[in-house]
Amino acid sequence: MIASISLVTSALVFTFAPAGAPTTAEAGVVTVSPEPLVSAGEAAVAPVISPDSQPIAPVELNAPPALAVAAPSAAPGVIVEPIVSGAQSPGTLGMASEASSVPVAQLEMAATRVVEEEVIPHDIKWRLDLGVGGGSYAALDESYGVFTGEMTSVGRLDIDVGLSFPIGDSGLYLGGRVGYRMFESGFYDVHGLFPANYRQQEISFGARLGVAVLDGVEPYVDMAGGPTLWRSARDEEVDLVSTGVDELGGMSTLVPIALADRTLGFVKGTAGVQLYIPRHWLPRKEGSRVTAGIDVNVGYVWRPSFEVTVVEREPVEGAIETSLPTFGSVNASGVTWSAGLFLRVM
Amino acid sequence: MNYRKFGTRSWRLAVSIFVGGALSGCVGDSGYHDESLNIVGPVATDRSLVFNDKTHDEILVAKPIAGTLEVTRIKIGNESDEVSWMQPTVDRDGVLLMNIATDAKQENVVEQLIRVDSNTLVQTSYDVGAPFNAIKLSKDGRYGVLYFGEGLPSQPLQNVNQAAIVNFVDDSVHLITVDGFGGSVRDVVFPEGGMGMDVAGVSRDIAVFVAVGEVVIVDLADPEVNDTQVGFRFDTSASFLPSHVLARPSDDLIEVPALFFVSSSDADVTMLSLVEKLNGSDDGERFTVQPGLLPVGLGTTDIEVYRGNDVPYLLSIRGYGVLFTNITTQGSFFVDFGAPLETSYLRASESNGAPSTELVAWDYAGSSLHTLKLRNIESALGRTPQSINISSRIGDLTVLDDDRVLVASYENQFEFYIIDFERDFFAPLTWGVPFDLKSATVMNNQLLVGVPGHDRLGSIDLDTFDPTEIELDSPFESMHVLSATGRLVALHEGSSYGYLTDVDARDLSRDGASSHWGFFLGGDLDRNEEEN
Repeated sequence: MIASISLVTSALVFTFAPAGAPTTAEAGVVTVSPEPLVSAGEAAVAPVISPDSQPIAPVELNAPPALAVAAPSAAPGVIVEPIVSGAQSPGTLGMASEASSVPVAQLEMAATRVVEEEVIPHDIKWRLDLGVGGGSYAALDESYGVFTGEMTSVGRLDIDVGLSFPIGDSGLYLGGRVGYRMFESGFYDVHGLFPANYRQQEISFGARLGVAVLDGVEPYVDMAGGPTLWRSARDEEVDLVSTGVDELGGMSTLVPIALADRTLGFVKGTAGVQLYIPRHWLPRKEGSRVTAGIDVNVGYVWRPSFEVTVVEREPVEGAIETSLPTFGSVNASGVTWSAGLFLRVM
Repeated sequence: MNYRKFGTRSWRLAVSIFVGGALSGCVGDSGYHDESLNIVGPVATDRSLVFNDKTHDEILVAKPIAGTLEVTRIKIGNESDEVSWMQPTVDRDGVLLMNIATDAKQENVVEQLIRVDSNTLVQTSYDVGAPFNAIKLSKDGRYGVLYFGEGLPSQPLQNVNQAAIVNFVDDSVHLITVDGFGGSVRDVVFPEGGMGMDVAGVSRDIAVFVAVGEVVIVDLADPEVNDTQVGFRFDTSASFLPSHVLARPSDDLIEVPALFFVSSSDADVTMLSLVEKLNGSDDGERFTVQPGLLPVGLGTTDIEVYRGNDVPYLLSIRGYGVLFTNITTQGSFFVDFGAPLETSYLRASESNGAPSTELVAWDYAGSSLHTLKLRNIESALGRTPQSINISSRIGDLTVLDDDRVLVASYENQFEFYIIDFERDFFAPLTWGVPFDLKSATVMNNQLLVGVPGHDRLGSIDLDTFDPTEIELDSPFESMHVLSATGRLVALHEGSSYGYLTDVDARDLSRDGASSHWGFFLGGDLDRNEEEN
């Protein structure tokens, strides 16, 4: 396996007590302290530390830098980057200008970062997912077909936001999600007679448990619930009670009708997988903070059955009171799946 | 933690899953809600409208109750059979359904006549053995005779003279083949007075099967014994087809009951006296006929029988008057009406405070309606018909009750008339829509009218002749009076989803009306797959 490479270059000044004492670079293995060896100006670049690296205690600098020493070639498998001559860190420069009571060789050298072929990922403390997608929903009861005709599935828009946190070093991530989904089927007439159509909008709140089995592959299970707003079809698609023709050839009284609105809850359980761009493919070798991928899931959603009732949308003044039917109960529970793209910030 | 590389192969697999999943969302099971509804009817009972839902093998009973509509569905048969026709019972307290196989491949279907009570919705089934396409009901509602009427046969191999006699009192069924002389049954007639006719001391319920050139007389009370053996070819013309059949029960004047037949193709009225059949070949009681001819001349268009003072008369409507023939002696006299006559009926009336009978006669497209009092009539002397002139010519005429008739104008379809003989009152009425006599009904001394294709219902008080009208929200295609509940129901045009308006027949007003839309679709989602 080729581990991702993280590299941070810092200008450091070391003071060696005996002349000719080997530098850490000469030892062949250089480790860099995670402690603030960097100056304030370098603080924006966070060092990436190997888990087994040992921190080096800071060395007191008591002489100004007089010599710039190029670090020797690194041992095989080790990359040593020389310090650029004259490079100074404001902080260290000030320190080096102070007099030293010990006559030691003063060196200004570049601190090197050794990047191992071991994985040096950026620590993930949280992850924020922004997803957008689409998919279908297939109720298992045929009563649902009244809204879609031959199609028991309807298209949908799916937008969600999730925040998850790692559970130790287990590779598990647990988090919560908030989503918005819209289902809208094609225009369909019940028995060719009545244009029944609902637009469903739902807001979901849920929890997700995922496990990063690979860099770029994360299966998960998801439980969610929330309200579903069942709203009748667009106004221009509702039917009219009467399409009769009066003596003058015009339309007689018209009573526009629609399906009664409903607001109901739902509970959904899904299992899916997130496939995203492995972090080591991205430019930042120590682990990108941003990645993207696709999210595919399938599951079952339970919804309470409800009565589908026809109502007058705009009662016509003076019209004879008209009763409208209840089509019966719709069982809208069924299989759901979705696929989409997501952007992850971590 | 360490990660493993996500290789090219894995990516291909992931893309395949994604594409497959996306495509799976584009297919689904076919829903049954895209099937077109095939609902025919309605037939009106005394309290509901009954529709035949062929899509679901059901009948749909829509019952208006206090501004609501109670809809009940009743399963009839299954996919192998279908309701081929419906008809209300005589007093409209139920509906009769003929359930037959959907096609010749359905060999296990037993053809049934099903009676559904309008109130309790209880079904009573009668196995009738053949897919009959016609039924005639006796006026008292006791019998129904199923037969094959004219038209295309309902199955390739068919006994056209097969019939089923259903007794709705004891729920028995008798299957017979009309044993005639080769003709095909055209009609079944229950002659007025033919029920319970005393023939040689035995009560018989007489029905007449009419065919071209022959009739067959059947005792419905015992068709297996007194069945089609009494067929009789009585006419010299092979094309004889009775246009009117009358029964004259026995009385003190003539002990032998008789049936009278008249045909426009013959000059005589044929009288068949029903007598006991002697020397029968079996033990069953039988009857036979003794034919006779009453010479009434050509052009008789209608006949009546009337019991005068010790004289049994046959009244023949023909030409410009009525020929009175003594059935016993065949002596006759003619009363000249001075105007052409075609049709007649007898109404009960009073003459000088005593019960009497009055003949009402008219001619289609004529300008007068004529009446003649029959009490104590013995000759034409002193008998002058009364005439009621119609400002427009007479079109269709409907007898509303003993005293009143409704006459549509022959010339002006916006005019109609109500004539009250008892009060000698004539009420011309006009309406803003073309009047259709078929959609007029009398209920509780009210004449209810409505013309299909329009959106107005009318009511006329038959005492005051005060009209009331209501305009509905939409044109209707049929109007129905539900006598048991006093409702007037208009089924609107284009109501393939079910759309009707229910009005209080005793008080036509929009305030008391209620419309019901979409009742064909009620509960549609509660059906499971097996029910569709």
